Amino acid sequence: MDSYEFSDSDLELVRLLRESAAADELVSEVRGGFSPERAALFLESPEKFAELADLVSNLAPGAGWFLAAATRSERGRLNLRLLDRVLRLRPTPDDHRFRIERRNGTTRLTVKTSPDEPASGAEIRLPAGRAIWSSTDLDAPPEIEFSGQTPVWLAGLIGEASAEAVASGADAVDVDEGPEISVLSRYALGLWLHRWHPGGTSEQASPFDESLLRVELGALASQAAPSSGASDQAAEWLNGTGLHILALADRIQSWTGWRRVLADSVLTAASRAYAAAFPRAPETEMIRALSQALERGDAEAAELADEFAEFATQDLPEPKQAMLAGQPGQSRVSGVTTVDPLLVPPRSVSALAPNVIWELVDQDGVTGLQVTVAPGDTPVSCLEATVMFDDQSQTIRLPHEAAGYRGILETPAEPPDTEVYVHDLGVPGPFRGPEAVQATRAWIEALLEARRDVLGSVEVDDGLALVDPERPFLAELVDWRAWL
Amino acid sequence: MQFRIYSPAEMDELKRERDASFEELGEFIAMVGDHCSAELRRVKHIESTRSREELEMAATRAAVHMIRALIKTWHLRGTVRPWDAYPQPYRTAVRHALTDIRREQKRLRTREWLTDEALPPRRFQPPEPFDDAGLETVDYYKPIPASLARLSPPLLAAVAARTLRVLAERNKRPKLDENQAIVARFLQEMELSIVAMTPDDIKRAESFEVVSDWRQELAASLGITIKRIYEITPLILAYVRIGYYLFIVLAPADEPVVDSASMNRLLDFVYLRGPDIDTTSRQLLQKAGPALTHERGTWQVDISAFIRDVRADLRKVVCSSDVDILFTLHSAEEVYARQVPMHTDPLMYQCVVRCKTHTLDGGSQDGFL
Repeated sequence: MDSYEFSDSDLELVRLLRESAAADELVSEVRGGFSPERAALFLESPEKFAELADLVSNLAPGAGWFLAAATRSERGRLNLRLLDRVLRLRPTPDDHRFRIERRNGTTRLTVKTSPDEPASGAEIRLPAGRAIWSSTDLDAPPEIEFSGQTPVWLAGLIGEASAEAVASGADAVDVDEGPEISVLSRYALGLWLHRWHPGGTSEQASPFDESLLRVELGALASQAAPSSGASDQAAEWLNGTGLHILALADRIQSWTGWRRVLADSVLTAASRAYAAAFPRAPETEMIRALSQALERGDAEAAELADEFAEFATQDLPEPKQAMLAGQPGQSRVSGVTTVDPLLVPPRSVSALAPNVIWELVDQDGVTGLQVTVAPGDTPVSCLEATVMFDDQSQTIRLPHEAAGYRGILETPAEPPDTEVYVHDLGVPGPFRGPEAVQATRAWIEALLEARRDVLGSVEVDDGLALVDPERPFLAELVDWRAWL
Repeated sequence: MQFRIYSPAEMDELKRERDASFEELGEFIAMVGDHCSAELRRVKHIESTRSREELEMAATRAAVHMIRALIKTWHLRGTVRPWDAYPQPYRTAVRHALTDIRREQKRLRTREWLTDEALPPRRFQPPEPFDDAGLETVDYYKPIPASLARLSPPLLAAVAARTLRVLAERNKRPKLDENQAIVARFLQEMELSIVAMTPDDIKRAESFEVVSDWRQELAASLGITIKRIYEITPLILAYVRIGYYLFIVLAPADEPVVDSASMNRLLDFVYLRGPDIDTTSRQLLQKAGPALTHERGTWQVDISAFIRDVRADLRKVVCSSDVDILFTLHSAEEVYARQVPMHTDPLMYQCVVRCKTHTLDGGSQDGFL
């Protein structure tokens, strides 16, 4: 080959690199925004706009372009105009609609695909139906189901017009906001927290204040419309929380700003709901007085709250005990694992990972595989462990003792390839592998951490919109800031 | 960021859709921009670099999400809903974005895709025979019909240029050495002169009269032999194909990788030993890129060339059968694709066998399903 020839490689390279400098610049602009002059050029020249249109058929506008379009300047105006034209070339479907399926007397409305994660949703039972919220999106329940006639509560969720369209046999309806959506969305988020919050960890020495969450869930349930059936659940949540309500009245006196606004609203609703649900409970008189004082004003409520100081929670559970300490010299740790949160009651086991060890021990003349599980903030009396080895499995009970949940599988030697799965009584699986368990834990942790980092950092004193279903729960606030 | 307590009546009014002019739309979008600026200012003082970066990313993503939604509603109905530009929904959007970011990072750490359960069932039948299709001869001057060119030429040019630039600036493999980098730049700049040519010029260029001894002059200026120049251009072309494979083919359709930091990170992932991918998978990914070929308007791995290269160079690590090799590459692509920024869930990209699981257009084969 002579030196002046272009080989196939040369030609292909030159072709691929053709106008790469200009393309490089345009890619940067699609990602990062245009200068006013360049934006004007692409707006005014059909040829230049065609070049841009060609590129954005394969390259989505970047965050920088969106932010450039959101600035209050000539550059912002021109970028927005250009972005508007480009986005018209990339139409997106209107996904703000429920698809409706009817089968065997059951009607199912779905608006979007729920994440494929068992811990992602929270279900609210409704008369002859249910609504499932995703913890990732509280705007609307992605799934609503009911049997028989269109229920009264549907209008509360998706609005009158959409509910009527469902009743008249429509295949799809707009996702509208019914009057109940805000309180039920928040109730669903509270249910999610109650089910999936793992409890205190070593980073947060104090346990998760479940009683505070129960007070708030009771208050929320009481605020839902009677047709939803959720209001019937208020008494269930509030049962046994009378003293906690009184203690809360004292506790929040030092709170200020939006945290106080939130706390006052919870206290007002919870005390009213408690008095209605338990009219003859010993502390109801005091709670009723508190409710009336709250309605009359802050000063009177504060004066009354002073009297409740004695109810302030004195007996906070001990900080988490050190767990999983082996017994050197007497046992040999054979393995560790982490409990699948799907298989145990909320906060019954430690939030730490791993939280299970199994080891071969000699105890009281018995040789066996001892399984120990670190307890959580809300231990239960007993769990079970299914020990799998070879093709066999055996289930042992793990009563809650001082050192945690513990049980022994009698065996002269450790079986090979042992796997241990801890679960609630009578819940024999399905057992998931460590990756899936970790994925669920990560799913939960990510949401909790993001709520803490975003919502816990609000410092201004104007309060949160009380209708915002995302606002922090009081149990979260005290979890994020131990001094509250 | 200021929060307010709104009465139910105020809320109803804020959430009511109303007709809006373009200027009014711009005002609402600017409000979102203001929230984003305020959030970025707030997080600037966070001491933990990782937390700061995550929050900055979340602040930006949230703004994009809200602006996109405002524009979409305006396109569909010519309306806006003031609430959609207010601080509370913005904070919620930040929380959503941060959750997604954290969730993704935690998921990456779980390495769930390396478990046997994550692998799709094997029902793939390899195409036969594995002919050597060879490189397609490209006619530079013949424009590709728009209907066939599924990838925009400016995108291909930009990704090629950026890949080469990243490779030239890296200090670890894969990288271009100085001579390779200069030849790459020379070829980029040479096309600039060709672009400016008239049709007559192009005819002369086709006869190579105007570039009579470019290779010789280049070799002399670099102090290397002309043979070396002959060796460098196919190598650069192979790197460009690697760039297309890693940054376009295995990326979501709309979100090719174009920023150099991500390119660098992904090259590290494929070429350097790391905890999240095994050696065989890395080596197969390295081999698949250069085997990329342009066919019927799309870029895809030439399976026969790929298998041949793997058998020639990776005898110690390859699996026993061709199906095993493809199956392992297919799984490796999934591992890699999870590392690509803005990847979708479920993952969507042009996998080596265009299976229905990964291919947006439904796939051309039954694949592994």
